[in-house]
Amino acid sequence: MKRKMQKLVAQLAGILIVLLGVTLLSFSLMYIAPGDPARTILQAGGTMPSEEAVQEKRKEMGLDRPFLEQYGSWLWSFVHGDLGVSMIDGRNVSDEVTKALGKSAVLAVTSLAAGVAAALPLGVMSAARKEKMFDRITCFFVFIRLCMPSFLVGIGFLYLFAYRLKLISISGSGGASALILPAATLATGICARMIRQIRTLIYEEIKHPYVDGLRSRGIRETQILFVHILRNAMLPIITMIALSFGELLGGTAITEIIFSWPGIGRLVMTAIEEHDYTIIQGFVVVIALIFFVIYGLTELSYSLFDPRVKKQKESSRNG
Amino acid sequence: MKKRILTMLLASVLSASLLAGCGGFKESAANTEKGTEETSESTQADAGEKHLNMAYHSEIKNLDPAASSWETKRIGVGENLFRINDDLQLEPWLADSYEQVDDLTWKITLKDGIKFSNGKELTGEAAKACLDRTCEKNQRAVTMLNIASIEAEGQTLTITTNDVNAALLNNLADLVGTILDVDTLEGENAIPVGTGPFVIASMEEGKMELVANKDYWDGVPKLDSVTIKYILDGNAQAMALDNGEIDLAFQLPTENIIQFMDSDKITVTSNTGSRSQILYFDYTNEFLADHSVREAISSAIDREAFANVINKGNSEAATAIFPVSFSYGKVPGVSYDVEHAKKLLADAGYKDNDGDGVLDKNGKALSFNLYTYGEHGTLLATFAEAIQASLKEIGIAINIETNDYDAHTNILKAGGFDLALNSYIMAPVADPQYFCDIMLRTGADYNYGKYSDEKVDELIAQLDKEFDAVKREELAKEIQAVEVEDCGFFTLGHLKYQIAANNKVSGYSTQATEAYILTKDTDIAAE
Repeated sequence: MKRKMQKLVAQLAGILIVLLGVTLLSFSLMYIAPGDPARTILQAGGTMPSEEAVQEKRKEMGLDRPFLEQYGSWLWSFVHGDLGVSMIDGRNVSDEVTKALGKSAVLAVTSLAAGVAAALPLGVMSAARKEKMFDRITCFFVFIRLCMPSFLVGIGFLYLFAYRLKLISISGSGGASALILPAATLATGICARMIRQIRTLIYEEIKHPYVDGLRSRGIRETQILFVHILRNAMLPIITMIALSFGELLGGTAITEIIFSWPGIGRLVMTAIEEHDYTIIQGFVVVIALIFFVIYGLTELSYSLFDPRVKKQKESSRNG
Repeated sequence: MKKRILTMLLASVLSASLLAGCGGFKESAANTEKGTEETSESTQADAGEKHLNMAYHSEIKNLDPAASSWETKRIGVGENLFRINDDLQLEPWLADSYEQVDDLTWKITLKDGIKFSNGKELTGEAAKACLDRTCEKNQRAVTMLNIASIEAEGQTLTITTNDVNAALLNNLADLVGTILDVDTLEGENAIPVGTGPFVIASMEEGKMELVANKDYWDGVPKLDSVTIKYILDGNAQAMALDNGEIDLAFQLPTENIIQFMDSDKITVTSNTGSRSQILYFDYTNEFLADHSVREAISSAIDREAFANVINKGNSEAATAIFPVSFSYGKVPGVSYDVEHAKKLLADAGYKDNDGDGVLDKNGKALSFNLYTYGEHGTLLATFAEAIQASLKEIGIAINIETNDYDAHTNILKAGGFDLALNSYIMAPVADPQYFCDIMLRTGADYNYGKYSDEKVDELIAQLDKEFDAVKREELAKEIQAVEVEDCGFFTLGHLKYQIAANNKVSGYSTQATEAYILTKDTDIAAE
């Protein structure tokens, strides 16, 4: 029990140190980068503010204070659970980030579920029929999708389904139908990447002697593939899924912009353009925390899928 | 048994990943329902009512003039005491008349009987409250209006300025002079209320809904309602316009505008704006301090070709500084003449002594850095390459460096950059004083090349204090003539301000100040 507590404390301390590190890093990057929110605010409409006005505004916003002081005061409010307000338009950062994160999460879960659901059977079948027609065709499409950047696929989908076939509206504005195209864009990308990895994993797994054993016992091929082999290859696949989920939450800005999806990627892209420090900091904190949770859950699920992991842990604890 | 366990395990993994996004899911489901309801509503509305769908290139989050928002004006919600008309002349709007009492004092009388769309009356006191609030919060307002005090009595406003501010009335037409009901500006999710032809009915994720202000003081608006959809991607906007999902798009990128040029269902309207490309000469460079080098560079660049070929007619060639379409813009500039440019350089003693194709003098090559930045739609980087090619012909070597805007500005501030290409809005309220003050004066904030001419400074000082409109124009022309004589800067051209709209739409403003779009006359024809 004591050992458990120690481990928990160590893990929490680790999280704190990483949080401190990433926020300090992102804060200093924005500090070093040319330009500041004061100028952005005054430049609205494309006109040029006087230098005096910019300095005045900087002072008002506290941007003329030394770096550590600025970071310190951000950190102080953060520790008190306050992520502050947007430097550009005064909106509440926690609200903005939560709202956008919710949107991104919907998109991420949908596209991940669709992508994984398609990739599992396709990847397994491809491995089972390596170098056969099925495998060749799958690999061809995987290759095409991997070569195409998401923005191209996105615009292509928009052109085909919204513009040509008019099945879905281009401008989106919320709604379930607005989810279909961006989710499809991301899902095809995830699916392509996962098919390739699953195919390799399964192909390696098939070579094991236990597979021949199963076959000799007369177990059906599909059962061998989808139950026995897939389970043994599940650990790396879970890691892949978990990491893809994290990436999807933080890194789908381009897709979100093309489909006018008000997610977190789009929020932070705009914030970077506008030098909106507080929004960027809020984003960094939240994404870092999400990755911690994902890693934690992933590790937990390992022991579910592979009892050896649990046993190892136990034995190391006892030994 | 084994099978069942596995199924359970798989399900648990999936639900684990679902859990993380659970909160968002619920919210989206709620939105979905709302969304479908509204879509069907607006389709129903289409049957009997006049409804316009308009695309906006960014999400409208800020509507407060104190936070420098143009938006209420553009969408026909907010109005000013004065406005710029389509001949780019100033005219009273909410104001009925004005009178200059002395150099520092103006008396402005508001029209009678104007009401905000929430029924409150527009009195002198209401206008004062809004202007006071903006001046208190917005540095731009402080600089442009320079107001010492405002007194309100009935429908009359008496404005006193700190110093002589000849451009005050023009500047009251700027976004900082937008008059809204102050009580509707504060607080989270505030929806501002103005006096204009439209009222904001709702602001939601992805769109804004407007309805006509039935009690509008200047007649009944022709449209019943408007949906403003936020479509951030240029291609997506163009597709939506093309297939009829939206009726009007403004600020489409040039490459998307071009596809509608020959369309028979979409009309593209262009007005020369004051968003201009300007080349800085760094006077601290010994060669660029030489008038003949600056004149040679100015003569070697074919501005007509830049506007018509490189920018495919989406900009207008410049002559002096301001666009020819402005009343004070008709000033002749340096004309395009490559032979003249070559002769100028030869006469000034520049020769290609080492035969490398680049002229030199006193053992130094005539070679410059040209700094610019990538900005959406301005084609600055393309122009920079064209300048490089043009100057190569007269024996000047150019090394181009492209940065992002902020890094570029830092380089310019540091000085010693040689040449720099920037894009500026020269006359946001159609008045020349702004640009002269920030750019041409000795020591002006944006005069990075350190251009300095006594005569120009003297004329700008006069302009700042001149109230007579005709004389102001004369002064602006004189200033440009002296600057052209000096070859102090080089203006390449002025971008056209373009709106692409379905042929059914009429009556929207295409004014180059970019300050107005929807008006009471904006209309859409039935199918």
